[in-house]
Amino acid sequence: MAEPQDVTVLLHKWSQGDQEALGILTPIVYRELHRIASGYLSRENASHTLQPTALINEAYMRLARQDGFDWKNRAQFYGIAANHMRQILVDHARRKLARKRGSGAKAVALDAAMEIGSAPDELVVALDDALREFAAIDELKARLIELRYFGGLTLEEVSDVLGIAVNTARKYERLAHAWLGQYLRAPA
Amino acid sequence: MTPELWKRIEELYFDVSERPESEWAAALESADPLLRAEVEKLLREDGAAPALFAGAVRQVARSATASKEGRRIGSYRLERELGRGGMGTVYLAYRDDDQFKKQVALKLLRQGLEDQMSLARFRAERQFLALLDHPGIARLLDGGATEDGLPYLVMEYVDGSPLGEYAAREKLGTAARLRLFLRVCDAVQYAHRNLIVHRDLKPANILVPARGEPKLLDPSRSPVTVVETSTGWHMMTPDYASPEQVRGEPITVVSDVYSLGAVLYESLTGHRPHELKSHDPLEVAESVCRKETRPPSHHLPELRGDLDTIVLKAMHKDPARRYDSVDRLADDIRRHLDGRPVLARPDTIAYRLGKFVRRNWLGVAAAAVFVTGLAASTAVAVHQARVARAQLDNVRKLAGELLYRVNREIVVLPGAIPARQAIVATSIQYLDEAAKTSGGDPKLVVELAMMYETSGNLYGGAGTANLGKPKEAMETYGKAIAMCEEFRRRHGTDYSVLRAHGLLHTRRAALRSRMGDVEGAIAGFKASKDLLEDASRIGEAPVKELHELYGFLGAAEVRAGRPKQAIASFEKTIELAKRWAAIDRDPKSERSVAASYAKMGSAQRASGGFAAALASLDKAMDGTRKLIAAEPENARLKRDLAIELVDVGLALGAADEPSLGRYRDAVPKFDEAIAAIEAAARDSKDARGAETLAEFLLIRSRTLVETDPARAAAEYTRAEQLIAGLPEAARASVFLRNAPLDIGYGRALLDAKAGRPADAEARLERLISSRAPDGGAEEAVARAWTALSVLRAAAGKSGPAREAAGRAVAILQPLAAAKPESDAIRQALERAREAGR
Repeated sequence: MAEPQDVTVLLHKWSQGDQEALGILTPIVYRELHRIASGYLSRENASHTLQPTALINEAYMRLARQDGFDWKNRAQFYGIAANHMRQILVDHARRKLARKRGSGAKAVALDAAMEIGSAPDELVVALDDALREFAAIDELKARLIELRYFGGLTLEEVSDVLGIAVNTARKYERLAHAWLGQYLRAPA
Repeated sequence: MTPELWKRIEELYFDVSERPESEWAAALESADPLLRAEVEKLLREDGAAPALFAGAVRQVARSATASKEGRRIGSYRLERELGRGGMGTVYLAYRDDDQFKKQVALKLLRQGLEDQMSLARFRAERQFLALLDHPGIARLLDGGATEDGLPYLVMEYVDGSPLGEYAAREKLGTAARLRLFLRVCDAVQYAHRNLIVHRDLKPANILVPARGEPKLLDPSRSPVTVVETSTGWHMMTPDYASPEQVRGEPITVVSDVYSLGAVLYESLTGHRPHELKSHDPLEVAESVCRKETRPPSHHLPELRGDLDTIVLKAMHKDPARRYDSVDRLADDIRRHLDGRPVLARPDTIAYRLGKFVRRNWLGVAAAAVFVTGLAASTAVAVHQARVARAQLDNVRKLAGELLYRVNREIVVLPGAIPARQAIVATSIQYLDEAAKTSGGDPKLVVELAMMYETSGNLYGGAGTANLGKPKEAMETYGKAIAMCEEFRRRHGTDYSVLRAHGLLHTRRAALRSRMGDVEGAIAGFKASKDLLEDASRIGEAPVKELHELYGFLGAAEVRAGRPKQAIASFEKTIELAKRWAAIDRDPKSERSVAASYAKMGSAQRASGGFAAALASLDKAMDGTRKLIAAEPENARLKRDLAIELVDVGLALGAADEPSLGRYRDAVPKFDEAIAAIEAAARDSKDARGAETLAEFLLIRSRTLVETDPARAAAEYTRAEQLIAGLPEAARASVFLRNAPLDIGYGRALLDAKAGRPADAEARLERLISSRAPDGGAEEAVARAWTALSVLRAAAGKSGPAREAAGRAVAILQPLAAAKPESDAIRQALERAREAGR
C-alpha cells in the first residue's frame, strides 16, 4: 500500500507529464476505491447513501495528504477515479439488466427510457455505449462527459483535468449533450 | 462518421449556435448540405438528456451500494437479491465453506432498522420460525448477526414457480389444482396451530418446485407486519388481503382463510378476484370491502356449484361467515373431490334471512310459525341456533384475541415467552367461559376441546415446543377431558367428541410419561385407546390419532422396562402409520413409518432380538434415506439417520451391552453415523448437535477399544477436546456430566490391554472417587467396579476384588428389580457376580 505522500508525489509527477507515474497511480486508486466501496457495503446505512462524488472524495482524502492539498492533483485524481467508477456502475447496471432479461442487455432508445421514467440501468448502459461511440470521433468530449457524470466533477475541475478553459469546457459540454441526445434518440 | 467530418460539424455547430437563434437559418444557408443536416439535428436537441443521465447515474450508484451481492455474511456468500420485504432484503446465498455450494435464502434486516424495536421483532421472527417444522413451509436453517450486529436468518431456498404459474404450465386440471391447494392449506393450518398467522398469503409466497410439493415462504411475517400495518395499509397485497386487513382491523386465522380463498380463486380461474385496476386506497376499499365478489364460474362456467360456494364462503366479507378454520375449508374441498356433499351453503337467501333473523328474531319466529306451520320447533331451533352462534362467536373472538395478541405482544417483547404465557392464560379464561354453556352442540364441544388442547400443548405438550409448564398443561388437558366426559354423560356418544376425547387422553398421558409417571401414563393411553376404538365402531377409524397413541405407548413401555410390550405397540403404530400414509399422502406420515421402525428396532435390541432389530432398523433407514433424498436440506432427517445407524452399530457390536459381538462390522456403521451427524450439525447451529456427536464418538471409541486400541486412544482425546469446547451450560446435561466416567473407563481398559494393569486399576479408583454424587450413571459406576474387581483378582488381591464386585452388585440389584426385562442390566449383574467369585 502506498503512503499518502507517495500518491501526492505520483500525482505531481503525472501532472508534469510522467506517464509512468500514472501507471503506478492507477492501481493504487482503484484498490482504494474498492476498499472504501466495500466498507460502505458492509456498514451501509440509509443516511449514508453512496454518491460517486462522495466515494471518490473519500478515496482522495485518504490517499492524498491533506496538508499537501493541491487543486490540480485532486482534479487529476478524480479523472482516474471517474473512469473506474464508470466501470463499476456500468457493470452493475448490466448485470441487473441481464438478470431481468435473461440475456445480455441492449441499449434502449432514449425516448423509451424517458417514457419508462424509471429505467436508470438501461439509461446508464445506453450512456456507456454512446460514450464509447463518441470517443471514437471525439475522445476529449467523451472524457469530459465521463468526468462530469461518473466522477461528479464541476466544470472548473473538468477544465483543470483536461487543460482547457472553463468556457471551452462549457461549450464542449453543450455539444456533447446534443450529440448524445440525438444519438440516443436515433432508432437503433 | 469520421473524426474529420465530426471536426467540421463541430466548427459549424459552434459557429451557428453562438449566434442569436434568429440568425441560425441564414448561417446554415451557405453551409455544405451534408454538414447542415447534421448540425440542424444537434441544434434541435433540447438538453433534456443531462438531467436524465445525472439522475440515472445517481440511482445506479445507490443501487450498487445498497446491493450486497458478492458479500460474505457469516459463512454465507450472497449471490443475488431475491426480493425485499417489510423488514429486510432476501438474498440467494450459499455456504462459502461448503464444497456442495448449497443454495439458501438469507434474509438480512434492512439497514436503518437496527434500533432495539426492530431487532426485537426480528429475533421474535427467528424464534417463531424456529418453532415451525413442516415440509410445506420453507425451513429456518441458521441465523446470526453480521459483524456490525445486524441480525440475519438463513432459510431453505425454494426454487420454484408461483402456484398459478405452475398450475398453468403443467396444464393441471381443476382436481389437480385443488389437491395442490390442499397441501398449501395443510401448511397454513400447521402455522395456525402454532399461533402464527401468515397475513400475506398470495401466489408469490407459495412456490411449487419442479418436484411439485408447494412450499409456503416466510409464514412468520406476521409478527413483523402487524405493527407496521397499523401505520398504513400499503404493506399488504390488496388483491389477496381480507376486508378487515384493508380496514386496519385485527387479523385472525380467518383473515388467512380469506386470502387462501383468493389464492384458490386465482388458481382455479386464472383471474384475480377483484381485478383491481390500481392500488388506490378508495378503489381497494370499495372492491375488497363492499363490491360483491364475482363467483369463479363467471370466468369458468364449469366451476358453478360447489366450487363457487366454497370459494365465496372462504372469501366472505363478514369474517364470521367464513370457514372458521383452514381445516374446515380443506375438509370441504376434500368432500368436493370425493363427490360428497360440501358443508358450505350458498349465501343468498339463507344468509339474508339469517341476517334478518338476528335483527328481529322474535318477529321472524312468529312469521316462521305462520309460514311453515312447524310452530314451536322452528322457534326453538332458531333460538338455539342463535345461542350456539353466540358461543361460537365467543370462541372465535378468543381465537382472534389469542392470535392477534401473540402477534402484537410478541413484537414488543425481547423474548416471546411472557407474551405466549399471557395469551395462553387469556385463552383458557375464555374457554372456561364458553365451556360452561357449551350445551349439547358436539361441534362446539369439539371446537373448545381442540382449543384446550392447543393451549395445553403450548403450556407443556410432550414433543412440541412449549413454555415448560407441565402442571398447567396437565390441568388444561384435564378441563377438556372433563368437558368431553360431561357431554358423553348427558348427550351420549358422538363420533367427533370421542375422537377429541381420546386425543386429549393421549396428550395428557404422553406428558405424564415424560414427567416420569410411566404407570399413570400407560393407564391414560389405555383410556385413550378405548375411546378411539369406540369412535372406530361408529365411524371411520381415527387412524392418525391411534397411530400417535401407540407410538407414545410404546415409548412409555420402553421406559417402564417392558420392551416386549413396546414391540407389540410399535407393530401397531407401524401398521397404522402405513394406513395413514395410504389415506393421506403426507410426508409426515412417511416420516412416522420410518420413525416407528426405528423405535421398534431400539426396543428389539433392548430385549435381545438383534436380528429382528437389524431388520427393523434397515427399514427405518430405507425410509429415512428416501426422505433425505426428497429433502436434502433437512438436518433433522440426517440426525434421525445417524441415530438409526448408531442403533445398528450397537446391535452389531456394543462392547458393554448385549450385542452380536461383531465389533469389526459395527465400526463402519458408527463411522457412517458420525459423518451423518457432522453433516447435520453443519446445517444447524444446534448445541445438541455437538453433544450428540460427542456421545457417538464415545460409543465408537468403546467398540474400538476391542478392535483398534491405538485409534480408540486418539478418539477419546478427540472427544475430550470436543466436550471441553462446548459452552458451560451445554456441559451440564446428564450425558456430558458423566462423559469423563466413560472416557476414564475406556482408557482403563486400554491400559489393561497394553499390559499396564496397575495403571488401569489406579485410573478406575480415581474415577470412582471423583464421580459426582448426584448419580445418573449408576450403570457406568457399576461397570467400573466390576472392571476393578477383575483387575484386582488378576493381581492376586482377592479380598479387595470381592469388595469391588460387591459394590457393583449392590448398585445393579435394585436396577435389575426395577427393569426386569432389561438384558443389559441382567448381563452386567451376571458379570459382577462372576467377578466376585
